[in-house]
Amino acid sequence: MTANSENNALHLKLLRQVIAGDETAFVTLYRDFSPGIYRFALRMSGNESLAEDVTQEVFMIMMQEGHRYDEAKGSLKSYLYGVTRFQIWKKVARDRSMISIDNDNDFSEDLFSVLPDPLLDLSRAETVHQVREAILVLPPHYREAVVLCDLHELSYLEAAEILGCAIGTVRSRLHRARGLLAERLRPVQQVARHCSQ
Amino acid sequence: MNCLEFENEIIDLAKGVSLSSEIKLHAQDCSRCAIRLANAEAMKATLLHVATVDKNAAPLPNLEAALLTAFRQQHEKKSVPAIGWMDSVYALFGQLKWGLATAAVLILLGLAAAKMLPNDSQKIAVKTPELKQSISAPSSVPGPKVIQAPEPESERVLVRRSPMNSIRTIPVAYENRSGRLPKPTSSTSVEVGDFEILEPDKPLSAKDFIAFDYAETMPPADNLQLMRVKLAREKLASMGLTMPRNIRQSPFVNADLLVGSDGVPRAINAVSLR
Repeated sequence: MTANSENNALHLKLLRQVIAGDETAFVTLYRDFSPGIYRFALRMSGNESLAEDVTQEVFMIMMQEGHRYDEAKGSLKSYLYGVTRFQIWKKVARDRSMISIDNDNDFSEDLFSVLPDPLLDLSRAETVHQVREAILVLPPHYREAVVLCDLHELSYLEAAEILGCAIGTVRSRLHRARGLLAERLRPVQQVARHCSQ
Repeated sequence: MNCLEFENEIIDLAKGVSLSSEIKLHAQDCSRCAIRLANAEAMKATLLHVATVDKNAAPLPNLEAALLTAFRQQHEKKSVPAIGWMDSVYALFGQLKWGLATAAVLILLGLAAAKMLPNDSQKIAVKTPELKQSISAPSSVPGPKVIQAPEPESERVLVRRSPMNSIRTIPVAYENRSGRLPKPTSSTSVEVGDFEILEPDKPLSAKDFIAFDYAETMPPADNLQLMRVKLAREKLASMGLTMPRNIRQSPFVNADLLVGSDGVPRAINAVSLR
């Protein structure tokens, strides 16, 4: 039995206890998954308040509809991330004031225009900020791939389960997303390279 | 390894896959792919750095407490058993609510439809021992109108009354004449016998008619004549109609008859009995 399947067996057991009303099991699951779910929502939306709301919604759903989880369809982690993803898009659709994310050709020079000389001025924190901003303006399907695979370090299989697509699709989206990010972050990468030395 | 294969391999670089010697060799030979590899490694370092920083991000601590409270409340709600008659009523209502709502809608529609019916005819309920039927009736003749027989007072009627179908009358030219109506073909019919048609002093009313039993089994008559006749008292009694004491000495009584175009009387209204 692999570590992943062991983990999933443990999570499944905890979920059953949650459905039976075990508070401790609920707290354990919450502490295991809430940081990742919150970060996923945060990186997808760029909005802390929305990320908090989504996290709350996901655990309310787990509380009320946890019995609907089908272990044959994937791990509990994938299920919860899938619910998170749905909640994010639901809230994003409701809140049109968020950053436009639907234009594949949105990568223009305007980001560089707000960074007149990044090589000289960027600190590490600013690098992180720039990367987050660049991720936020990625088209949604590329953004999901980057956030799940690169920032959350999920496997291709887990990402494919969450996104409901084939592993090959995840890889190609990831490849394309990194290309778009590299195009936008080239100056920032140089800083990162400098910082890592 | 060619450039295409190289490109395919470096996708997994960020996933912790170690670089194969083939990739390294190809990068040494191909300057373009060497740049791609350097960029991919830089991207990997950048994203790794962001992921490391992001690991500190977490929801506010009060979210856990809020969710735990919600969890307790939800579980308490589940564990409270539904007991008591009020709970049973609520549960029953919950199950039947759609049926009740449908019934209410149907009743409202029925009431609305009843209100929308034309009111040019007066609706009278005719009660018989066997059945209840609604028949429309005009108030008077002449003129084509729909009439019917309402229920006479019970002590005056001994014959079994039958509900009449809607009957249309035509104006009658009243003349002083006498004759005999043709005998109905039905074996159960009543022979009215000799009569004399009278000229009424005022328009005849098509109310208070008593249908003959046999009229019920006859085909509906479209055109009926309403006429006032003078009948032998005995004949009237044989029909089962009782007579008030003040006219018992009279050998004749006046009555209104509804006579079909076939000459068969369908109903009678003994005027003198009033």
